[in-house]
Amino acid sequence: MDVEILSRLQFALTIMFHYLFPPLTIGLGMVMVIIEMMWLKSGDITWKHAARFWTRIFAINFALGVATGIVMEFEFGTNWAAYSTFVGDVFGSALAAEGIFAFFLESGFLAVLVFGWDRVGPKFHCFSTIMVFLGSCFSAVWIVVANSWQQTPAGYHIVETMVNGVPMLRAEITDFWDMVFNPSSTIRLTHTLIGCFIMGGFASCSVSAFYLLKGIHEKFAKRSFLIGFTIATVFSLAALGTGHFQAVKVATTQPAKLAAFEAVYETKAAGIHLWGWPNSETKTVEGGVEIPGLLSFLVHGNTTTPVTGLDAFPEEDRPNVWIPFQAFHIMVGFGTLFVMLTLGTLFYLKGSKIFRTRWLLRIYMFMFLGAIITNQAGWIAAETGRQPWVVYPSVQNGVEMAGLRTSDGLSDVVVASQVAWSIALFALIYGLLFCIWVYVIKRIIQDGPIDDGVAISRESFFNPSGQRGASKDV
Amino acid sequence: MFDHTTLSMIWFVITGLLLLAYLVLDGFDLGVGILHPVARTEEDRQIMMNAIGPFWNGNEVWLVTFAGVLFGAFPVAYAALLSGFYILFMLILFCLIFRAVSLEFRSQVSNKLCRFFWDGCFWFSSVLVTMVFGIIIGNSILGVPLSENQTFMQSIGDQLNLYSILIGACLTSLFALHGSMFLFLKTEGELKKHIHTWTKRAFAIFLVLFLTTLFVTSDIAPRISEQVSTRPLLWFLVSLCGVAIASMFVSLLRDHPTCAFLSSSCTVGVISLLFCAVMYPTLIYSRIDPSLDLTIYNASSGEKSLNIMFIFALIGFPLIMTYTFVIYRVFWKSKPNSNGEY
Repeated sequence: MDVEILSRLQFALTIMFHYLFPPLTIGLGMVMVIIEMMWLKSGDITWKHAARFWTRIFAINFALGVATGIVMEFEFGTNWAAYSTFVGDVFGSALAAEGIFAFFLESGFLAVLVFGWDRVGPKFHCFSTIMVFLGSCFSAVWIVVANSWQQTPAGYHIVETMVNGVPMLRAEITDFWDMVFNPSSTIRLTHTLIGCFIMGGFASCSVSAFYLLKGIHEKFAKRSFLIGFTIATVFSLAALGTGHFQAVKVATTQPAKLAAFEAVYETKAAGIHLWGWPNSETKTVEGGVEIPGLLSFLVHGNTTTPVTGLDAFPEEDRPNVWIPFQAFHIMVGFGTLFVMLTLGTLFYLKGSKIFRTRWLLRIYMFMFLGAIITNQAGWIAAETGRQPWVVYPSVQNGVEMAGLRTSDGLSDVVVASQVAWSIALFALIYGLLFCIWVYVIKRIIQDGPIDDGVAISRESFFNPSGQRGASKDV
Repeated sequence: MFDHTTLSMIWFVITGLLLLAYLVLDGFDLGVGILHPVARTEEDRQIMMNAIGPFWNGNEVWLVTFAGVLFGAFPVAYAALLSGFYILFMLILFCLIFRAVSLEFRSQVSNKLCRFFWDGCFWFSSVLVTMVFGIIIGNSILGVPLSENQTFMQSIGDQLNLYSILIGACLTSLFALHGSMFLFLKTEGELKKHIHTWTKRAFAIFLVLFLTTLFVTSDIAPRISEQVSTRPLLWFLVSLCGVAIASMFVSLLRDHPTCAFLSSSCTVGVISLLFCAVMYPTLIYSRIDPSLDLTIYNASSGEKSLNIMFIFALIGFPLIMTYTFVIYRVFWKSKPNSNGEY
């Protein structure tokens, strides 16, 4: 295999693994802020125990987020040197801003959250939780802005600088705020954050549903479930809206991507497939069920207006269709499921019927997995649909700006064998990390929130569950 | 606000300070890892791991920020360094992750053999990551075959040259010393005495390696020895380094752990400043032709971008300083024990 495929594979593997953690910390951050505020307001010790429980889950996710995040940052330089040089001015400054504004905030106050239960007062603890949540959101802001700039570049020009007598092309910022608020960043950021909140909400529901089914920690579980459920309901609905507006945006800024999402091979009035198997050889979708005219209607408000198809682009500018198509449909499918499930559950809220409805709780127990799949699928669709460009070509003030092809972004000094062995080692080490993650989370859940009178003697990022019951014997 | 030349210098200073902060902070927890086999009992090992428990993850954030700022301010150098040292940087990544994994796994297993295995992994990854940092620094001082494409291709065999390995060993002994100072501060009783003997050993090894390095560097890297005669600042830093080392020695004799730790922090700090001062204004020396060097002027981002980042830094760093200070104050006083987290 050539170095391009391998580097893309490595990036995909490492970013997908990394993206298990940030959305969870962002989403759980919101859950924790709500719980800490309830604790502060009511003084009820159950809230404190709940906050403590979620902090433990948060901490392991943050630690893994940092460990796998360093990899992402380094890979820009190691595997994508030409890309780094080209976008450094824009992308690098966003990354630097992320480091300066987000990471220190998050990691610093996280120490207070995890180790400060007995050392700081409840108010300061609550404040720290808010700071951690803000920190995690800030990091999303900068990285999504940087990514959106690649999809819909703005506020820049391409200059030819001479470095040691050799000409070099690179993108330089001309207008910072145009760069930050490029055409897609607001809507993509909103949609991404909403996806994270849904993940946090469903994570809370899943754990609570597990306890409710087992009949343990019920007081904690009922409260956590309601908080998670509220977040999941509100943001599932919101995701439907932002998802729609984002698709409309993609139709104008990246028509080839939208065409890939729905396998629109020819420019014509297009429908939306419920499912299908796009075949790029025959340029048809096999075995699919299509609602005719719906895509045209959603994008243009009219069922007969044509949607730009892949035939409008030269062969070398078309993305692969199968992967974005399937990823997009998985995301939309699960998103719809979230809305139906949460709205349906509203009928079971009266008289707390939900807590006795075992089949529904069983569904909720697995919704966390659904949220992971949806977040991943959404990003797979967004990033594979962007190909073959790593930085999209654009028009700035009537001037056409060249894009950067993914194949032109590689490090010219790195050879395939080096990337091959680094992928192998990443696979091994990430396999180990994944085992740890599952194991630790399982242990935290098994231990459960502390019931009154049982103190925890050990807490840390990685061994947060500690030796329970040690103080019972004393 | 400022012109490109001034901004390039400002960003060189900021990047250098971030490197300094990272080496000082992660230096002590890597050092505790390097010293790990020194512990004689299971309890001691747990105390040592608990001592770095609240800090190591936060310390790594400085590496993330350092890399982010290097990327943003000097993208051309970032691209050249990371792609040119591909294998070395991958090793760093694997080691950092593996270190976290072994810290965790060791406390999860009770089997002696398993613990022994994970202890070994923890030690090995701490040593290797420090060595590799040193090797990268060594190669940067020596220079690399940087071509006119602003990249370089060098076999791993050439990168593992004797000089770089010497720098790696020197850094390892420095971190071991720094880590032992941290433990000296954080432990009590028998263990503290035991650490003390190892502090002395680390001190002796470091002193020998450091003097060798100073001596060899002026000999082996001609472009650096040129600077030594023209830049009084270098002599100032070297003597400052001497003062820090002497103060470390005195604090050890007088059994003053806080001073000792501060002195070792200063030593690490001054040595990283020395490295930056030796490099300035070059980021990557080209061995092929000095006119192909990547400097802070030709490898940096555009003026606009540097200006904006400077505003970020002006807002961001005072904030970071404030809350880092507050948070460290909450935690600094506590002593670890064996029934902590690891």
